[in-house]
Amino acid sequence: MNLSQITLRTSDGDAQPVTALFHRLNSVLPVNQKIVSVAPDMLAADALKKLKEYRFSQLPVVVGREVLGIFSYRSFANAVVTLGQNAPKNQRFNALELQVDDCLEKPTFARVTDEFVEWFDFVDQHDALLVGEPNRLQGIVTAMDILRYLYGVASPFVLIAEIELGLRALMQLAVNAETLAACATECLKDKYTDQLPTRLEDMTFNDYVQIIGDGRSWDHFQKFMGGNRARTRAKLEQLRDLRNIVFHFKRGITVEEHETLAAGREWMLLKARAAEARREEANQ
Amino acid sequence: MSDCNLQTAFIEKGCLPHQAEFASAFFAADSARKHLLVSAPGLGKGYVVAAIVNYALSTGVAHHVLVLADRSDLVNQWQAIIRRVNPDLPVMVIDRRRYRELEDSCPVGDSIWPVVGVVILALDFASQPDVADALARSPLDLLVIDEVRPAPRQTHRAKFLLDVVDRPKTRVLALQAGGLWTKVEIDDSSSLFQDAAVTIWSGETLRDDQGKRLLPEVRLEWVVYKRPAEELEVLAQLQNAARSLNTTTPQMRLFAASLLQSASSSPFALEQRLLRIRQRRNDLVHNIEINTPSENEAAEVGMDEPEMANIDELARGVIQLSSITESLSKMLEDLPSDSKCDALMALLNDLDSFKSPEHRVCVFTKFVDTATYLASTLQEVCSQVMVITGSSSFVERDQKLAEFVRDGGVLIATEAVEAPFPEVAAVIFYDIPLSPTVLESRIGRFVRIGRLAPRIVAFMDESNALVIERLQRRIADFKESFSESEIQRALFSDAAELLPQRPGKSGSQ
Repeated sequence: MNLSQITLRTSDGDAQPVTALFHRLNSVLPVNQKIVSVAPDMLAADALKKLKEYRFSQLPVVVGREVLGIFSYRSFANAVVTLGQNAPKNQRFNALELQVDDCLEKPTFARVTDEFVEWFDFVDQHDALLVGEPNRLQGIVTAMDILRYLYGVASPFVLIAEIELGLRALMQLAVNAETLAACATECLKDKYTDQLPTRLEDMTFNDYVQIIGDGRSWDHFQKFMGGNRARTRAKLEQLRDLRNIVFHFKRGITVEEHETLAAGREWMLLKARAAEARREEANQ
Repeated sequence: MSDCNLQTAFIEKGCLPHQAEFASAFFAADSARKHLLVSAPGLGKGYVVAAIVNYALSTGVAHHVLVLADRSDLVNQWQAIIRRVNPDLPVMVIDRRRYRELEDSCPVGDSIWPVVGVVILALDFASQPDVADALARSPLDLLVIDEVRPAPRQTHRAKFLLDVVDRPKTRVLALQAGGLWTKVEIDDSSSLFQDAAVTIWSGETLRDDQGKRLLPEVRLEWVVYKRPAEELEVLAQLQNAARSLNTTTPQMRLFAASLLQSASSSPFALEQRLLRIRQRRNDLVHNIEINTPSENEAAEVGMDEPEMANIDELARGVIQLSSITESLSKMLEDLPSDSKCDALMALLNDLDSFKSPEHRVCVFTKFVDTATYLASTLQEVCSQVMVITGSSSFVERDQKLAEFVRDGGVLIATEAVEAPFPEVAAVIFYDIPLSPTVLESRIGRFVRIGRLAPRIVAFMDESNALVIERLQRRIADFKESFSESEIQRALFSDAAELLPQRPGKSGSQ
């Protein structure tokens, strides 16, 4: 059986191929990409202006949906050298009179279903990769697209790690081991029937939130977390819920949720800097 | 099948009489090619569409059905509505990624669309030239257009709609939202449906056999609360800061209006928004791309979508905005109270929500942050508190709604959530939208045929501190619509009293 024929119901109830879950070129291609192209009869000088305008290094040369080749600074330079050397001696060679189709490079195409890792070397050498077929261009992947995609996939994990470790460090500053154990016993006793964790390393993120957000232990943490207990607790709970979505692969997070994580990390950093400053002040 | 038999068949499939009448008229031999159904919320236009699609496919009247959802976040909802009528119907939601995979699996020139079935696309996606071109080359028997916009702009979207609606062999069923209270007006300036058979369902006109209204009547109640001096000081500082900003660009006006709305919603939403502004400022400083305001975000604050985000202007604006965040964040951190949340707790107590979870209550807020904050606060006194937001998956929403139906309690939802809400004792609008149509459609989710009318409650700060709240009240009380320039004049002018006056206009509650 062809793997692409196997379908599953996602959490949104939609049937989609299992293969769509894997990180392939289709995932890397931006959804709202608008392809900029040039016509073969365009003057190379105008095509160069277009490259500069869009800050691209190359553009597909297209007629209808048919891709004839690639026009780039490199293909232009190659054409100038080659055609300049081969020009009749008695004729003046003017590079500005070249047309785009005098400077074509042969295009290479990848498919949306290809693994993007297979194309790393190609993108490294050529800066960009056409996706589709010569008569059906579906998109262009650049090195920046790959970087952005990988950043998007990895950054929630990095942000959560910073938040969690930052929170743990702040808790260590706020209470000593004995007080922490007492707070845990008080605040987590309904949650654990046996083996109640009393050390930070043994606790979950939710345990941290419950201890800090509990009215009985808030006085210990207020100095470090700042502000109002209800709002601090809400903020930590929001981060906890996002952590669960990310770490348990429940679904992809939205742009707004990513912003919330980034803002949560910013908040944690502010608190950490304030705590460091207080500690330095106390040491002096 | 005769019209009468057809009507009976639709009733047997679960349609109400007015729905069955419409569906049988749609399939009548002399029926118009194009139908426009204008309906108040709550009268089941989604269900009748699903019944029509099911009938058309099951009987072979249609093989290719295309549903165009107004927004991309509604495509899955349409899939769920259609599957509810017949889980076995072949229904496919297609977005850009799915489209590329389908293209890749077919030789160039072959149709990528299924041979038989329903394809659901967001209208904006379907209007993109390559997709519109592929659709134009494919057969189409039945087209459903969700939410026809009154005056589409000269865009790909408008051109695509003109082309697809005019295909001579395609039956067209277009939907338009009508008001719950307001008079239904058909604005077809695009002339798309001049020759369509128009059906109007309104709460006033639809009656049962005994002449009783099918939709229960509702009225909005205000709960007045008083903000203490320290809360008013934060709001005053924010309002002055918003007025002092250079709000000449649409993006900045949108940013500033959203900031004021978040302040009106809750101190937590304001605090979080200020943190995000700070984060955006940092991203800009480090040349990281930032997100620009969306069409939905613009519509929510009563403004037109910014034409094209000018990143440089936006960057200047965000840096300017971030300069006010420091002092406001400090003031917020020291703010001990939240009078609006206290008012909500008192109201829920009065409604007996904490002791009697069987009295289901739904609390609506515009902001995910406020929803999280309210849930966190309410959970300290009530175990049955659930939250669903626009980013919850459909499975999560279904689970939470099922739990809410079974166990009762308080359901906190953001306004972005489109879901089949159950009957509730009260609907509380923690924030009021800046558009009467949006407010009506949200109330309409609870005012349904065969249900008791819920109490509809909103909050009013006695001090009238925020101009944006005065606008919200006028909108809710008098069903007034304000133009973008009127909203901006009120929000960003130094003369706060420039609230538009509409003498002689009164509410119809």
